[in-house]
Amino acid sequence: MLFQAVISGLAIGSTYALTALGMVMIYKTSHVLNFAHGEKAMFTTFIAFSLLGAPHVPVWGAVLLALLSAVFIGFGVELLIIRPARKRGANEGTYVLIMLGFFLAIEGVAGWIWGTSVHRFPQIISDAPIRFGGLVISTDALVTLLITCLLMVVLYLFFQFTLTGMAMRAMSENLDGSLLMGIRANRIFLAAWGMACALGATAGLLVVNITYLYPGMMLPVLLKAMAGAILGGFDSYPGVLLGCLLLGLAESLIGLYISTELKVVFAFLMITVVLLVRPTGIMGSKNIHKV
Amino acid sequence: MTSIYRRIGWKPALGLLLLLWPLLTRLIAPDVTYYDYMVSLILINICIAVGLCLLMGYTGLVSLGQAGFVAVGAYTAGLLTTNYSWDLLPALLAAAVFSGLLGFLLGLAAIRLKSTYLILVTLGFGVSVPHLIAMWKSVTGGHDGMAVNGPTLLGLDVSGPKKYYYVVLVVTGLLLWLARNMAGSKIGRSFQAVRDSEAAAQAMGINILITRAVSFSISAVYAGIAGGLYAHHLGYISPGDYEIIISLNFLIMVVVGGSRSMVGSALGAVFLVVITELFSRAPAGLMAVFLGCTIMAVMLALPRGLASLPDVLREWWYKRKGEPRGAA
Repeated sequence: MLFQAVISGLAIGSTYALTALGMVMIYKTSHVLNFAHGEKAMFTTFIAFSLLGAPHVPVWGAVLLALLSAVFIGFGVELLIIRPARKRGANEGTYVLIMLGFFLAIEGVAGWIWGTSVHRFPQIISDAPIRFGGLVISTDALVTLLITCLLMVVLYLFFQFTLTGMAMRAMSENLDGSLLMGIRANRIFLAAWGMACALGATAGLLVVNITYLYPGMMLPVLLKAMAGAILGGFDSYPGVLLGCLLLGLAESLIGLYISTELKVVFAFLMITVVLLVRPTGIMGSKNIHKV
Repeated sequence: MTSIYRRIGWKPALGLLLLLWPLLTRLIAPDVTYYDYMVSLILINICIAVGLCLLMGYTGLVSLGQAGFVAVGAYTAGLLTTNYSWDLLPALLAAAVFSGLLGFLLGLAAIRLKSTYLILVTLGFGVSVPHLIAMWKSVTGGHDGMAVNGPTLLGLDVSGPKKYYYVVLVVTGLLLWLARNMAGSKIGRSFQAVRDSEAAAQAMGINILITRAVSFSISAVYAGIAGGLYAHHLGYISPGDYEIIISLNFLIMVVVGGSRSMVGSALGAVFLVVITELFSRAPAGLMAVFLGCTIMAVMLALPRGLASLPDVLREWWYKRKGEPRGAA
């Protein structure tokens, strides 16, 4: 039981990590705290759901199209909403409110198109158990973990070795300096939004394997992703990954030993306690602007 | 006509209208209490909006969990009047104290590093409170909610829409008066100082942390009292009425109306209640789309909300008059 709880906790934690990494990527590059991140993932999951319901669409095609639509939604948000706001000199608070508006709009559209009731997403990844000697792992948890590991490696290589990745890091370090170095900020913003939304869409597709499909499905995930990000340190990518995995693990163990109802409350309590005791998180940098 | 209007101003006129409202509705539609009910609802929302305006407009912080404080106030007051047959007045005071304390502690935790973190903490708070209420079944009745007794105020029975309307009106009036005085006094000025420049405020001897926590706590007190009023207004409380989406609606009131102005925030409350009523029979999701697009449009075009529309128009007008057409 314990082993299974650990594995499923890590799998859940890695969906939080995928969600949180997209948010942190956007936040670090363009200082937008993207509250609609989860809702965008929900929307693309619904797109995949509709495609899977259509005849003659293979599973990989539906998944690929959903990811592509996520990239384009990301581009659209940056081009149509965030860029005009940036031109008008918006600050962090303005962005938050704009993204909340987008959150409402996209949830409303999803409710309008697909209804607010709960759908059962067709099983893409089987949940058949795999046995290693005496240990049992469900396939979907294993696949979730593998996909996350793969994406982490890809992200690491991206940030270390590609020009776009390095430009993204440079922009989060010092925006003016990187502009002087000839980085085309607008392109990097676009790339960040597109990538983050694709990460979010992957998270959405993995989450829906464990839960059900409905317009509000990503809100608890988003909250826990943020809690994990704060635990690990909001401005450090490895920290976010670690924090989210730890949160998933803790949640799974709490579900096993105490109560499943307490999960959301636990995430909130953890945000509060971490901010009280160690506001920079486990791996966050010290030079956060202090009150 | 204009001279009378100018001499008296719109505030006493509006006050008189509100004072006579139940009588007017009795004259026009004797058997219908819907209009009293709706105006009470608007007034309760105005309390929340003004509290949030003090936080967002004056101190420059954003709260996403205001419905959580409304829920705390509603359950505190509702449980006290129903299970312990308290009077409405002490029950409302208890709701105010409890949610205010909660707000202060939460604020202290949240505002230490970055004001952005307050958004995350309040979001978590707003999501958690309905969960906790639903879990505490023995006291709160869980998801099904519980009925609240008709309220008594100082021994008088004030149940029924028309009598209760006056309770709401008096409490709202008091809270608005307090808010206006606070805004002009040392405490309101220190909120604005902290919003505009932390360094300058600190140099003036203002404790930024405490000021922000106090501001957050005051907005929680307003939400708590409004919650207590709402519980007795509805006669029924259930956790479903205080979901996170409701917190977003409260935020929309202030942002659409204009967070820098209390009148704007109050107008935002009117806007939201009217819109909710208009969309009550529309397909699910349509209202969210409308509100979401409204908030985005307002933030892009009029960042200070609809209250700044006259100023913006005036500025635009003078600019146009200053530069004749085709000159540029």
